[in-house]
Amino acid sequence: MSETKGFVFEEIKDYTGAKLGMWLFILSEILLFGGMFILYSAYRYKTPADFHHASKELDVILGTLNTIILLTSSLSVAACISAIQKGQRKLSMYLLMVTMALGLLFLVNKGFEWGTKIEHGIYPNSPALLVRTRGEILFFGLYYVMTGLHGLHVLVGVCVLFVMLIFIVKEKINRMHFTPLENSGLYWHLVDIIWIFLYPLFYLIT
Amino acid sequence: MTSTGATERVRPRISFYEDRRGILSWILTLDHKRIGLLYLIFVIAFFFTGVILGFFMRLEMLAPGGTIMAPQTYNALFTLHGIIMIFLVVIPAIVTVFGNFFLPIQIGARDVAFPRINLLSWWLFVVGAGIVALSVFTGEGPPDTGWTFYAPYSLRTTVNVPMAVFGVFILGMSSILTGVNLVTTTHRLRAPGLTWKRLPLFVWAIYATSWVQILATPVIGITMVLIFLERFFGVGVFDPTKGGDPILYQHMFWIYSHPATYIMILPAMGIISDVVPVFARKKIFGYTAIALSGMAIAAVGSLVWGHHMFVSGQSDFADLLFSLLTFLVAVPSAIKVFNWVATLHKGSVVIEPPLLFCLAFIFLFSIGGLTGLIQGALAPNVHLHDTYWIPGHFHYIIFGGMGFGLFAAFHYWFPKMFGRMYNRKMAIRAWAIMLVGFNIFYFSMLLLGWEGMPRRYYDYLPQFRSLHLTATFGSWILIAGLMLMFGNLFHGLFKGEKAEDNPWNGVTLEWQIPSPPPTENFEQIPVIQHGPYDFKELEKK
Amino acid sequence: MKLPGHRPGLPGKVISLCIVPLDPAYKAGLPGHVPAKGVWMKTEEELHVTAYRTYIFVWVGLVILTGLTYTVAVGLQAEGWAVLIALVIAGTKSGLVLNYFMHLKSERLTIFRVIIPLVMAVLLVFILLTFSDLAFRGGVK
Repeated sequence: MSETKGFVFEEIKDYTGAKLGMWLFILSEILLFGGMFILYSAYRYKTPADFHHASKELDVILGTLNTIILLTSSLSVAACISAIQKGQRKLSMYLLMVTMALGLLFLVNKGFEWGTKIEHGIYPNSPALLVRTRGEILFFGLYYVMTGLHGLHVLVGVCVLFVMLIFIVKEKINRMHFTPLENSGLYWHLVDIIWIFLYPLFYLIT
Repeated sequence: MTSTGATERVRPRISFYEDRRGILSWILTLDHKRIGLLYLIFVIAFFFTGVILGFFMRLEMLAPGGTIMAPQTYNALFTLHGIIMIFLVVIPAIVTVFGNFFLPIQIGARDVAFPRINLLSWWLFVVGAGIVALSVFTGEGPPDTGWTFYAPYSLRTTVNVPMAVFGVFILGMSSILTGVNLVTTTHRLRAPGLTWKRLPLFVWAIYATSWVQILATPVIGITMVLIFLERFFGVGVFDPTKGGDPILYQHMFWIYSHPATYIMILPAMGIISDVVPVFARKKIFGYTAIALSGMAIAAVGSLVWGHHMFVSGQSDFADLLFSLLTFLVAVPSAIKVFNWVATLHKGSVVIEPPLLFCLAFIFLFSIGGLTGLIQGALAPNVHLHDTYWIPGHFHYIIFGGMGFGLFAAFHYWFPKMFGRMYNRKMAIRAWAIMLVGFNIFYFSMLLLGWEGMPRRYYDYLPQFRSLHLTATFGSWILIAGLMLMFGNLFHGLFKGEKAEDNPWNGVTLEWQIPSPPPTENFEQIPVIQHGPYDFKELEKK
Repeated sequence: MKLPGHRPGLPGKVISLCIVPLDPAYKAGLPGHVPAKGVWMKTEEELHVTAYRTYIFVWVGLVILTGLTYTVAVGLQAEGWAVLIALVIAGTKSGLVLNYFMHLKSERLTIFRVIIPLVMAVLLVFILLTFSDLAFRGGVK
């Protein structure tokens, strides 16, 4: 039925193009969080003492631990890609699972952090928060929104990595074709980079 | 265009319409041309909705006091008119319809870089629009904040702001993905021989626009999310009672919404740059200047947002800085206008509807641009801000500029997309009527604003009555012209004569393939050996 | 990616689009002057496989920098400097992640080298221009 019989069409596999698309998407994510950083810098400039004061109530140990967790997960996902390029399928699967586990651990820690705060009555619009100074209200508002948005991205990342794991199991991702895995890795590293900035800006205000 | 070793192959042509049939083959298509048409259907539907809202707004403003509606209704009308026109018509229109349809063809590709993401973009557009529509009929009714959703009012008003801003957020995602797609397509899928300097200027324009979409849209995305979070969780970032700064909301909002106006106008400028040479039978004057001016407008235009906030309470220093930057961004726009006019000079001008719409664009955009400079100066702005001058200005730019550019694209690419031709005389008549109605309508607005009539006001003092009457009268003429134009195009769609493949004798690649194009666009990917406006080459054959 | 119009069963070539220098003989065979760098050529893509060791070194660097930023924060008192140093360290860490984990260092195309500086510049300009308002609300001294 097709009048295009005998016609040759190219099938294009553009690995670089797919990577470029992912990077451009990453740019948009950087600006999404960047918008929040604009607000953060504005309010920290306005009430530095309040930010300093409020920051002391965050758990620095947990924050630092979470930083190390994410950095290590970046290591494992990067190594996972090298492994698949080298044809070391089993190793790449283990490394991917480690990455996901670390991501989930990060979220569990975050859950504890938030949980403790909420127990103490510190959450957006809480009566305990509203009696504090304006700067402190804003600090915690920004804290919840920014770490919340970040946590959401970690969760999405874990899900995406899980899908990649399935693909490796099914050999849809293999030594010759691993672009989706690499792009997922890029996304994961972005999530790590955002936390690299969130950590000092919320936990280490002197 | 010469292709590598192509012979004259006589094959029955199967257009992309006939390739597969049935509604599922359309709404689940991966063909960039079908996706472009899917966007077209919705954009036109939303445009008509916006026009109807505007029609009723003007009816209300015929006389002071209540005429046909309550004040709350009027507030909802202008809010919806703005949201629909801006987010559902003017921002997407040229990029998603003509960018999708023609960019791949103009660069000699078979499709965009990510066809499935293209489809996803369309679905996000439809869903986002649906959510905005839902906000009208759910909760306590449609938003009344203006399309700008300024805090703290948008945090307090009981109407359905959350749903509307959520819809805008989804629409933003659609826009970002389209931007990613088109930038990647331009970088990766150009045909052999198609260097950056041989790209049609329409492609350059879409390219610049796509960068703005990628970089600016996320900021409004997060801002809409914050409004949502503020209303449900009381976060506090824009709420003065919690230490938030409403002016910061305005910064965040306009950091996107000003570049958004360049998302609107750059593609239209790209159309003018492509169409004028064809109807002047002459190479574009200053190709490089136009291409780079587009990038400059995208860049500098992202730095001027504070000119929406001169009287908001921002610092005097910011006022000065933004005013200066605003004057700077006028330069590349002026360069383009100059170059278009220079292209016409000593050209062999052919009067056809596409060119007439381009000429109208140049005239109306110039008025819009010049009025922009007037309000971009600080002292006049104090007088003009929030008066009718502002909507007068932006309708000249957006409707007179982008709108007429869109209509130029309709009339230029109609034969290529549909394989038929519309009635030329009718098109010219409609054009003339629209031009007359447009100026009566919107020039009256400029005058109203100058005299101090505030905008977004339901009621007004009797001294403004005659100008309001004139404006409404002009709006009727404009709408009549619009109906004639669309009627003519719809008629041409179903009953028009069959069009040739290259009715305008253009050189860009879309004119070298059948009308309408086959699904795969090209029999063989061409190898490009000359620029996009090389008419001498074409005439030699 | 499968393109519309590709019918299964038809002969097709898998072509990798990548920027490789045009083979002079191939270029000579093309009609006319074709200045394009990238031509659809059937070729193996250049693969950079980073050694595990490199990744581990980078990770160690990242952990050290984390420790550094913690120490500086606890030790230093001056607000202004503290933010700056924290941002510099965070920037360095990000640089390591971008260049090594995300392979930006081994990218050759201009577009990849441009995008991160571009987005940083955009963000910086947004913040600076916003501060032209916030920092001068009381008037210019």
